Amino acid sequence: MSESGTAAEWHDALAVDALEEEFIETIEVDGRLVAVCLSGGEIFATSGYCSHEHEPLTDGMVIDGVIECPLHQGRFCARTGRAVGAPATVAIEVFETRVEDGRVLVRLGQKGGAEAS
Amino acid sequence: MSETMQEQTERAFGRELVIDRKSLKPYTKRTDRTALLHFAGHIGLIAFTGTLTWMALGTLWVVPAMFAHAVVMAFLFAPVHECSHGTPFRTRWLNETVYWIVCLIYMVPPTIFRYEHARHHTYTQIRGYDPDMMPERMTVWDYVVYLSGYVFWKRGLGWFLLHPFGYIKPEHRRFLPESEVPKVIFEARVILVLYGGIAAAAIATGSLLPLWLWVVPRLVGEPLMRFFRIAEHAECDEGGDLRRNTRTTRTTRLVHFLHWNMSYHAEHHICPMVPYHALARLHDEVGDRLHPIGESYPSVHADVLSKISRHEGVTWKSERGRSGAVAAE
Repeated sequence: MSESGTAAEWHDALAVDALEEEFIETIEVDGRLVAVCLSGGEIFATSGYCSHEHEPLTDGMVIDGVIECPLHQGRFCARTGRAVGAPATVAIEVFETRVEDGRVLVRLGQKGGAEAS
Repeated sequence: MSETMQEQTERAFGRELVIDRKSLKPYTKRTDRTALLHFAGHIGLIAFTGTLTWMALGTLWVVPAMFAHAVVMAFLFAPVHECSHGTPFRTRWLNETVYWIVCLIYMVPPTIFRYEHARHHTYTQIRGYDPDMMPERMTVWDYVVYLSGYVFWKRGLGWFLLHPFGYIKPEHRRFLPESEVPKVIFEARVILVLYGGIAAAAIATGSLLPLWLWVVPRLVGEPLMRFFRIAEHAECDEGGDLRRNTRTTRTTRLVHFLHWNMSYHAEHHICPMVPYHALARLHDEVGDRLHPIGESYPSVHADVLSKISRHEGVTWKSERGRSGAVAAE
């Protein structure tokens, strides 16, 4: 659903309770696969695909704010999307998140990332 | 179909057909402690066999001592492999430190190996794309050459001697991003200087220590590692179905320890994000869905050699069926 508020592009993603530290949930939001994760009590949202070989980040991990692809363990900063570990070399998109009524909302407008790093 | 399109469509698959996300989660938990203890044990064993070898030099005891030393050093490929995935340790800098140490001892350059191995996982058993795949029509001679370590050393020497001068073979550029080329070249130069320094110091001091405790054991031990590695995919299905194209082989507790559980190879390919220490537990849950399972390494080799001698090749084409393996299930 599209959320009301300051921007129409906020989308309902999933319940906060569905998130578990160190694990990634991927969900389709407005036709795009988005990865949502909880690390150190903070919620992050990024593109749902690894930039290395387009593997879905479903089954991936997030450890100390670093997202890890499940196939080759390419690594990305959850906050900025920057690639921080081979074989990933290109950043992934990151999205703003907020919590309302126990739900995680994601704004698909790009917050950053996706540039070569 | 262009190569790029084909690479996007033909990939190894099967994880979601074997285990669901919820069931997988407990196996993916990371810890530093287990791998640190394991690494300390492995290095301790190398120090022990190295000491024995050094003490036995000049006597006939050097033969068994050197063999034992070569064996435990050959199994350093296991932490090279695990750390290339970045999964044994929770803390990344620990993983990368151990990765560099074992790569230097084992004699593989870390970055290019990581990319090559990633390619192997993406295109496992897909001919033309999997860099680790056996020749289609393997002869007994091919088998002997592979087992000798020749292929390993030929590739490695190319990496060590060509990369410092900026030459990377086209087949390796296929899996190496352009942005990583300078890193690979720089890394090769660092390693060349390091190895050259060790050789120069040994010559200057007249010490044979690096030769007897490192170079010779690596040459002697590599065929043993090839012996174990042949079993991972030989005589398995061609094509990307990970439930059928990789073999887990039953073995002893000692081999599981030295091999860092790499014998659970089918489980590793199905779930590469699972750290090595959880593979035995994962095998208990999903092992019956993965085929073939080797009853022992010698039996796998007997089977492979039997097929080779009958000129049947070492892989099953999917369309040809797997009558032998199915019958054994």
